[in-house]
Amino acid sequence: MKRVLHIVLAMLIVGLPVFASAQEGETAPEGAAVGEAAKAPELTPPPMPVTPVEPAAEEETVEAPPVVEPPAEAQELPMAPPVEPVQVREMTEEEKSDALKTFEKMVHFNATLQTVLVYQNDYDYDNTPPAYNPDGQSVGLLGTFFKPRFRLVPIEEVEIVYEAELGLNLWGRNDPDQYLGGETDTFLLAHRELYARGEFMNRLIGFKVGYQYFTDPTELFIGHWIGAMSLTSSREWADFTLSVGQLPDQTAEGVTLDENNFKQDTFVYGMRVDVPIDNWMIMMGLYGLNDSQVVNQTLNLFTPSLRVSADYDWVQFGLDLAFQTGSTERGAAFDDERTTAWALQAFADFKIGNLFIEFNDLFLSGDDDVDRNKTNNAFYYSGKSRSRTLILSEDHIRDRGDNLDERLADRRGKFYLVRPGYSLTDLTIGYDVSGFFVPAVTVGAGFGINKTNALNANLVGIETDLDLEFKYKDVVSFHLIGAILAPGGVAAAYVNSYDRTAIELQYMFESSLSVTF
Amino acid sequence: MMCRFRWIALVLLVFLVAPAGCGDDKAVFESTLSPVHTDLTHIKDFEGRYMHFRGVNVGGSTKVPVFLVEPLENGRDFTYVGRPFPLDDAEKWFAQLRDLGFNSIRLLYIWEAVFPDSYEEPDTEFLDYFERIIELAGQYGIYVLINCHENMWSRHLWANYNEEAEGTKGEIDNMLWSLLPDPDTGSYTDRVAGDGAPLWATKVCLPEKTFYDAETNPNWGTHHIVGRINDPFGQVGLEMLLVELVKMGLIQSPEDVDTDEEIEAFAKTLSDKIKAHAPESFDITETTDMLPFTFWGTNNAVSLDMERCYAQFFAGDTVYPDRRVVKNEDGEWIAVNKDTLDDPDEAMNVKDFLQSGFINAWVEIAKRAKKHPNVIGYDLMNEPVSIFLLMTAAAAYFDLGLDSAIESALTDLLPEDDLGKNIALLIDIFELLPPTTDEETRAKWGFEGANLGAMAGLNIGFEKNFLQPLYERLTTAILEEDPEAKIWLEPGIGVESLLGSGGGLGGQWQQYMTGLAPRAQYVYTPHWYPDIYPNIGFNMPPRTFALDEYRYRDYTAMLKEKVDWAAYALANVPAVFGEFGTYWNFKYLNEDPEIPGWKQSRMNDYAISAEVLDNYYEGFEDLFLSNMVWCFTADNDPIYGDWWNHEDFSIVDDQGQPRGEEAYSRPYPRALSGKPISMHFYSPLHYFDPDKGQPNKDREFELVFASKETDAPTIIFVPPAQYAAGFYVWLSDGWAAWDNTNHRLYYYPEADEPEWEHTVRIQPPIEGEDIAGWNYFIKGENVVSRN
Repeated sequence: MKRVLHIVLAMLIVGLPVFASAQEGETAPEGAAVGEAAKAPELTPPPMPVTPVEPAAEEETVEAPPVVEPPAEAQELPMAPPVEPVQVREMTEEEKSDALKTFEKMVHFNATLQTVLVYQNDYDYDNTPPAYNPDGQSVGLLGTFFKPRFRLVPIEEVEIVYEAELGLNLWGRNDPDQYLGGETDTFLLAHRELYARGEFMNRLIGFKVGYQYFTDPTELFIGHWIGAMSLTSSREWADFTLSVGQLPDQTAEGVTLDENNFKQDTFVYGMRVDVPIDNWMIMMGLYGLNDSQVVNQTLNLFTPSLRVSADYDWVQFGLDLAFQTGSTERGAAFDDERTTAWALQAFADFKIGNLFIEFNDLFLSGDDDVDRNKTNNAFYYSGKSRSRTLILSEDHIRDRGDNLDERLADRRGKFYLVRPGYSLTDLTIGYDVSGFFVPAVTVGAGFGINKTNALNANLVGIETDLDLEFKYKDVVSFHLIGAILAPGGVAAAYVNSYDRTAIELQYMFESSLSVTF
Repeated sequence: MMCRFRWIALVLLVFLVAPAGCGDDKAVFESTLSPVHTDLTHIKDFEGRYMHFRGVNVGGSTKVPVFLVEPLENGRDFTYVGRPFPLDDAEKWFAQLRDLGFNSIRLLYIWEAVFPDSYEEPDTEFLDYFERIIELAGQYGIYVLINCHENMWSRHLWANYNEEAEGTKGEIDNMLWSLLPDPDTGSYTDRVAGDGAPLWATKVCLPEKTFYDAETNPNWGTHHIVGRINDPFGQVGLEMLLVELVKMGLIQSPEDVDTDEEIEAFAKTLSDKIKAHAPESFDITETTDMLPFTFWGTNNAVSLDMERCYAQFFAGDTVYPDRRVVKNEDGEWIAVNKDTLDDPDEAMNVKDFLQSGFINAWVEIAKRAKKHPNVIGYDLMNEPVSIFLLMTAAAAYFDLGLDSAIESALTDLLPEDDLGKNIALLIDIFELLPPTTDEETRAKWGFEGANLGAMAGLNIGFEKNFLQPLYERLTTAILEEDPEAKIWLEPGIGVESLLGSGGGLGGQWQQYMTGLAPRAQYVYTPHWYPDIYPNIGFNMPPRTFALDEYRYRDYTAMLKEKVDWAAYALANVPAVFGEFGTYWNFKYLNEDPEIPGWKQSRMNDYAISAEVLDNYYEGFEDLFLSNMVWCFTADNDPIYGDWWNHEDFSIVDDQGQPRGEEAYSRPYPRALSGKPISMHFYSPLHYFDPDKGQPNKDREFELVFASKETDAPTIIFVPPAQYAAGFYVWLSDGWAAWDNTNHRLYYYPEADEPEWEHTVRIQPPIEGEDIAGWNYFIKGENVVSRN
């Protein structure tokens, strides 16, 4: 029955934009706010941009293409009536200007090029040497990432977005001269977003379909790039979104129709309501997850989540709250596993002149003492939080997947279950020195909640970061970061290779140069 | 505005109804055992999992009853209630066995335990006790294989000896002195005995005997040669014998004796000493002909009494065709000649009597066992012995009148100094052979009415012609009581096995049992022991070994040869090794030989015994073969071991503490979700040949099995003793849950493709080892999960 509902929902979401599109020319009211449908030019194909896109210099004429002489053999064949050569009229300056404006309106491109250096004295917190390791124990990377983003707007109500990332260009591994070198960890192309979005009837109805970054209001549960279809409706006092999406999973049945079905896939579905009230915003969501990627162990999970936030000139603050309930068939030894979990995040960002202070507090519920019993209390966590720490949580400069909130966790599909639970509090104090130099210090402390699940330890670690950022016109950003982690027993239990109680200090140096266009 | 608040209220309501509590229920792991069944070459449980048994025989002292201070009303002064251990202690021992990792026991019972008093009356108290033991085992997750145990026919056949005899143990003079009672007490200190048949059955087999009675026949068990010493002829003969032995140098005088007079004087002194030790003379009918071989099994080949008992059990209708069993006026079953009966056809022949008595015991057991799902089978008979050469020779001796022929042959072959004649005389005096072949002697030696041809026939095709019919009768009777019974078959132990199996001379000689008539679930269960028994002799000390002798031994080929018989001759039924084991009282090469073996073993932390067991288990793991070690003895004794023939095989010591557990408390799968492929465990006793840059994979356990044939998990026992520092788990796929109470890892494979090989690897933290990709780290109740 759930599957039928999914399909009906999907059909509705796919079908409604088409219906809406067909209706808009007739019924769109004048003065529509976003789409401006009434004032929009007629839906005739816009004039094709002329290549090159650089505006032609004044007085310069566009040469007509050369007339192609038919080959000699062709001349012997019956000849078609002679074609008059095309007369290319020189565009007027006004036409050129209009074409350029149209192009700029229809095609948007921006990109970020980031080069990152990361060095850590040890991957874990145990300095016991391996039996044979010519590389020593330090780890690091020096790589380049390129993230282009295209946005095409064929009409004002509709846009097509594509974002990719070409990255993990580890300098020590990539060799362009060596085609098909067999290395898989050099240039990798990730298609991060590819979707179409439309809003019609004064935003009364809209859609967003395709591969996209998808979140619940808190981002603590869903914060993933997935294929999704959303039906949206915006009123003055609230935005409504009804969505269904499919998460990538490990059971790729095939790309041809005779090999593919929806039996072992993972779906997310739900609704979201965003209610702005003056400087406040209340975002509420209710999402369901149907994960059948493991045969006979289907997970059905429901997550209501809520964000209440406020945005004033000098402070932004808010509270995230999410509950989870659901069950995994045969997820426990000889039984179903029932999930009842919660997550909470409180944040406050103060800006007082050039001084800024950011505070974040994250709680993820932990499991009870026994893994895979009938009860799971660990939160299905996206791995995304608002914490500014670089090791205790995801490094916002460059996510490398080695942040502790993920390293402490079980992976269940695309989600992280931190069985000891997780409490992370961090505070950042920074100062923007005339818009060019922004030093900041972050201190964070992480704790487990259930020590039984972490070899009877509570402390995850205490992290101190010094981030020296140099900026130029929001185009160039250069970070120099030094970080120290004093790990606790929880981190040692999950990360160390040999002595699972060793808590040697971990040092990290990171630098990043980002150029954004 | 109303509309806005209505929406907000709706969404908040969703939050309110969302449950927010946190459960704290413990994992519910398997708490009961499901019945098993055979499926082609495998044993599976109700869930369709492949079963793997790591068992222990319980127990070593079951061969000996509990002797009662106050006899019962019927005068019986023994009971098997309390064997293997008292009910009050049962839960303690089962908990210990479970914690050591055993998922099964081979629970022994003795025929005599079920019918101790008579052919007709079972001991219901014992049956109640036995059933309760089965039930309690199930409560501790332990499967039960029931075995009707016996060795050397019956405990009522025994051979006395004196442990404190003069001389050095292991030397010939000590052995001979050990045949005589202690000079101070006039009694013996120990005996070598059998176990199995009740007294009433044994009496039927040996009707010419006057069995033990403290008042009337205290000599039972003393060899009849000793009974000849104080016979008037024996006294003369003894001096003659000693003179000859001194002359031959087989007996050394402490002082130089050269002249005949000196020799005779020494012999006289020695003879007087022996006579003083020896009991009053007695007849061969007042004792058995068993000898106190420390390696007790030797008696199977050299005791006429024992061979005659087995011969009547398997083929009494032909080897004693005229013998019938009837009740006398006192209500006792006795063997008589059919010619004395008015209606001999109404009386049972001795085979039917014995076999039906044996079967009745099994039926009583099956009535109780069938109620319990943890019973995995009925192991019909322990090590059926089929050595009948001496008995056949004796029958030929009588039938062919070889007494005079042997005397003539000796006289002719050894004419010098009348040596041959004297030897013949000594044989006569000491009755080393029947002195005559007349009817009286024949009756005294138990060969009245014996059929030479039938006795000779027992040596040919024993398994096919004699063991298989017994097994078929037993199977039929058990199936009538328990239609789901699994029947476990042991091979016969006879001269055939000495000739090799399956091919060559042995292959042509053998007529192995095959194609058993009742359709049933059969399991083949052989036994094998290496060279751990004391050397052949009386009052022998334990074996002495250098540790290096055992460290590098590989038993895999021997075990495989034994177990392959299931495929070769028994339609490839499942095979489980039913017995193997080691003594725990070895002597160590570099220790003072005066220190007893049990002390030396303790001083060396049982190193050799542990090595022996580790060799076994590595072989079993190579073959992915279920097995049951001999044995567990709750009342083990440092000196008398398992209280039977000085065997000391118990895996727990006299304090009930495990010994050498690093060898047998090892990880293994109790049940597998798919077909077994391979496993190994490198215990601390494993011989490592190190590789450069790689630490030895000390205590690594790896299990591989194919496909996923059931949703039920694979259950792996992980012994805490091996992983005190915790252990990592690597999985090829799926997930696992940890049952810390029972030390079991529940592995749920996920990959469902045919031919997928699921792998589980377990390893403790090893300094310098690359542990990339681990899924779990488990230490005690703590589970660090990165699956």
